[in-house]
Amino acid sequence: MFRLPNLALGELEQHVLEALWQKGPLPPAGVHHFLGNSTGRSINTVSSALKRLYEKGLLHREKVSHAYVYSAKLSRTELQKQFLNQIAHELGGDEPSSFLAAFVDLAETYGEDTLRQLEQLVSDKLSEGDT
Amino acid sequence: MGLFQLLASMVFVFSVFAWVCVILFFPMFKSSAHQHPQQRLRSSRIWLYAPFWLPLVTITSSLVFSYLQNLLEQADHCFQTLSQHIHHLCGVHPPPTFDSILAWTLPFFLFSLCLGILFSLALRASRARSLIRNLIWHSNPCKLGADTWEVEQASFMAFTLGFWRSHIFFSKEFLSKIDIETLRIIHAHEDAHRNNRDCFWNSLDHSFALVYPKKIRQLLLNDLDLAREQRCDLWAARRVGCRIKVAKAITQAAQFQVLQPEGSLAIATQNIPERIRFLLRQDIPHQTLPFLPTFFIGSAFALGMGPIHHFAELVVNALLH
Repeated sequence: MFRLPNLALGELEQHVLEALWQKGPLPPAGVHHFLGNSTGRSINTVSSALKRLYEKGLLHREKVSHAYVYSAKLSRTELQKQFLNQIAHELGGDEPSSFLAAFVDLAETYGEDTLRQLEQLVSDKLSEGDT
Repeated sequence: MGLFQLLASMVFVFSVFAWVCVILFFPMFKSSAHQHPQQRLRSSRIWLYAPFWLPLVTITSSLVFSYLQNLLEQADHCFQTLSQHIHHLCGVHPPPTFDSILAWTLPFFLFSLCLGILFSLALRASRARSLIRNLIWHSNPCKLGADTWEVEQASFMAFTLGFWRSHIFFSKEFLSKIDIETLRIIHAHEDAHRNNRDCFWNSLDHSFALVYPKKIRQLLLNDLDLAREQRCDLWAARRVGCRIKVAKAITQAAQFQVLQPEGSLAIATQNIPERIRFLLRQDIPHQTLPFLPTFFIGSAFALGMGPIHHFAELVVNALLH
């Protein structure tokens, strides 16, 4: 069965992504500087987080001089969509359907006419002033 | 040991019996639109989980009654046929162990099936939980209520997502296009899903429904979906004070063709005509209380004392002798 890669992110990974969205492409040292030393995280920890995000397919990287420069592959909106897709896959049970399944079902089962009739029914009741 | 072995076998026999009964009789006796949604939800779940609760209630009540009758010395607590006393489903006179590999393997199969379903569900729920936490981290709080989030999606989305604890999500596009009164109604509907822990029950129902053939499974789940949505519609109607307004909100949301991720619950994606017609009815059926305790106590008496207990004894007798 097809499985999506596990997108679940740790707290540091989320902070790193946030940094890259705000600041654009950065090397590990730049991300570490942006996150600040107050968190007590070493540059190696930040580097590992960047590598994990890259392996999950969420970052691009390019070698500049001796260090990699990382940039976000997905926007926040695209990442949210990926999360929703994966949640749908996890919670969809053993008969998973695509994220758009509900939309398709709705359009197929209830045509424009049915919806118009229902709207008319509701409007009639509302004009009767019946609760 | 003999009693334990017998009980395990009887759990299997009664589970299969209940499973066959659900397949044969549910399409004929499924709940009607005249019942209150809460009651329909409960009766549909009684059908769905029959292979799991029926053996437990039958066997527990059989044993309890055998002990009680023995204690009170009111009657012979064991089954009597012709001149023979037979002690099977009896805690006072446990039967001897019987030498059959099926006595352990069949109940073990059933036990493994239940455990497998629960384990798979727990695994998926745990993975989904982390992802939902991530989604919340990257979403903005929504002013409509507590634990309500705004996702930056261009499509129309309004849904409740989670497992034990669930969260409400609206897309930015949806919030910008729908008027505030309709939004409040939709939020009330989603809030009802959250308060009733519908996401949890929905996942559990879908997982256990896999034991049935596809046609029966769909009938059971459709019945549950409709009852669950109608219950939340009524909840929202109570909050806004008008059922017709809720019906209007459903048609509006349907017009916008709201997207709903699989495994989540949303206001306008399921059984729309039935829900609207139900909301527009003059009389909403009353809920008879307390439904579940009455049902289970009634079942315990019927199954423990009545002809089903004797039927169980006959089955055991046929198996053993």
